[in-house]
Amino acid sequence: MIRIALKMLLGDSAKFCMLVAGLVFATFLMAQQISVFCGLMLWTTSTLKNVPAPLWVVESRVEQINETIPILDTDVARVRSVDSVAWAAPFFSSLIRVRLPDGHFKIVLLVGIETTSFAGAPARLLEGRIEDLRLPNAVIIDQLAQQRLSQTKGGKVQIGDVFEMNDHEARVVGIAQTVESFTGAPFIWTTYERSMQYSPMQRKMLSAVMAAPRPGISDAQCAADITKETGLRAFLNRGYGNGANDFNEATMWWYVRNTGIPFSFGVTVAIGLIVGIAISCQTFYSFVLDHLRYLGALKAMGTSNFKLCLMLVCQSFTVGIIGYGIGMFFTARFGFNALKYGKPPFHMPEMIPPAVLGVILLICLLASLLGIWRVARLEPAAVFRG
Amino acid sequence: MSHSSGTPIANAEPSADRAHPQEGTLAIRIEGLCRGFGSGANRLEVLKAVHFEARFGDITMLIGPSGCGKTTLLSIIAGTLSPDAGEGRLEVLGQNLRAMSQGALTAMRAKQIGFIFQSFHLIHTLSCAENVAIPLLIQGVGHGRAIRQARDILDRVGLAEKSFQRPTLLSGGQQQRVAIARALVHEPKLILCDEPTAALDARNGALIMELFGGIVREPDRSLIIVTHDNRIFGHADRIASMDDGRIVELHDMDEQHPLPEHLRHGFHQ
Ligand SMILES: Nc1ncnc2c1ncn2[C@@H]1O[C@H](COP(=O)(O)OP(=O)(O)O)[C@@H](O)[C@H]1O
Ligand SMILES: [Mg+2]
Repeated sequence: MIRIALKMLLGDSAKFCMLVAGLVFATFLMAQQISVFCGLMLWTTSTLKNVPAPLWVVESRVEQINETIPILDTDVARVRSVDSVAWAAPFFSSLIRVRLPDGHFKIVLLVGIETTSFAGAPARLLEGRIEDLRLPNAVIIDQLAQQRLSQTKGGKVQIGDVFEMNDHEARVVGIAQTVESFTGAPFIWTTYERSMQYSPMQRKMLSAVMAAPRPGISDAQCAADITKETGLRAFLNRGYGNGANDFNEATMWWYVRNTGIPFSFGVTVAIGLIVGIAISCQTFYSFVLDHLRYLGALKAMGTSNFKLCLMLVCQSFTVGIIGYGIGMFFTARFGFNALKYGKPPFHMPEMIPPAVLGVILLICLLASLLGIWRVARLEPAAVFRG
Repeated sequence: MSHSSGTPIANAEPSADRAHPQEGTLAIRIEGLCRGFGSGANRLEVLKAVHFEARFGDITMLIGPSGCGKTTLLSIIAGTLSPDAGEGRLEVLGQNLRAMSQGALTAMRAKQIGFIFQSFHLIHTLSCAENVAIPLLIQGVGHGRAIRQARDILDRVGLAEKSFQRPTLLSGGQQQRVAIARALVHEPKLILCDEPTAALDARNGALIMELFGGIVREPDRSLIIVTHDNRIFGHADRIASMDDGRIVELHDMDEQHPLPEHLRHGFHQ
């Protein structure tokens, strides 16, 4: 009977296509929008990826990585003096303006790191050597900066090229690969001391202290010790899903709470869901109505209500799985392109595909329930009447 | 109720030429059965203490003017409509339908009853063979075997070469032959037809009735045909004439007792 049910479904190609199209649309909207949202959230923590360090020690009111409340230079020494800390290094970061020779300004994220340990050096250096950062006026820029700081359209800044920040000369000695940032500003590395010259002077300049625990001590334990002894806040840098004390997670939730981003993506996902439900339920119901006289005949001929339900559920799950498959195919195509060109942000956590499948099947179940309700009300005696 | 033939129906004797053990015994026995629709002032009594019987081996025609309750009676026999609660007796194929659960009724319909509808109800997206196989598939017979059996039956109604076509490509007469094959494929004991020839022209109607008299009729099978089509009355073994919710006349036909004159005109539907 299942085979019969599927043939009935495929036989009505117009409704079949409509059902599949509705579910493709719903799948794509939900999976793609959630992935873009997750990608965007990843961008907000790009500094944590590009400037890797096990522990980030910041001013106690700081809630997320893109917010800096400067602390005192002496705080580096205070962190260093905590027993469980293996090393601690100063870190400076700030959005500053680069002046191009033609007079234009570009915003960049300037990162200042300590040159004895190179803690916070780029995770991936494509060209040049990290040691060259010790040369006079040396900076390392990322690929985005290569394009942004170029004076010719389509051109690229290369090693040896020179530009100006805060009236101080900067010479490119290396190219790094980075994860794009939420602000869209390219990353530029220099030494901690020189970063003071490249940015306008303030009373406190230290943005954060990077630190690592001694071998045998967990980062969580070390963070607790630092907080206890210095009063500064120490965040872990393990990645998402590691609790509120992780800088990645804290940053993501800060954006979720404090910006309209989740709301606007949520609206789009809800639209996908509602349109999916509306199209599927309405089309499937009219499919059932079209086939009502056959379903009635089947019922009269001795098909149990249970079997009829099974047939309807099979029909709706079939379109559900086909629609989901095609929808995920388009999402994957979109995702591959996004990752290839680095834009728009795209990140699909493992649980998205099964979750979307679950939602799609739920929609299908809802649609078939509507049909089942209609069929259950169907009097088998009615088949004898015209 | 009047009998126009000599045989009193209540104690119908199996005649000498009927050799099969079941032949002549009762497939359906209904006594004093009532059914109404609606309630209060809108109450419409459709069946008023109906008495009806049908024997195995017979073609029994249920005739009468439109709205007299034929389809209602047929639905009750099929177990798809329940009669009003009360005294009335309702026995089909030796079973008291009143005492059966919905599930048991459904199972009985699947196994023992074949259906033929006025508007065929062939599923247009399936091939003829698949349509015919449906009663077997409902019973859980494997797809391959069901299709093979369906093709054998289609062969017997003369439509073997249409097995893999869709029913929409066939004429009305051919579609009804497919429907007959579907009603026969699981070898039911009882076949219920509602106006099987109403949608067909005279020639096709006659062709269908030939099939009924030929391959459909079996000594251990009972055929009930609801019709108002006087062109086919001559094919019946017994005619039960209905009016206003009652069987008003029962006529057993054979060579000595042809169709009486007053029934030749039929009814206007
Ligand atoms: N489900 C129903 N609800 C209300 N009235 C019905 C219903 N089914 C049948 N009737 C009424 O019962 C009467 C007999 O109907 P039916 O058995 O179809 O007659 P026939 O088949 O002899 O033409 C009609 O007047 C019809 O309107
Ligand atoms: Mg009728």
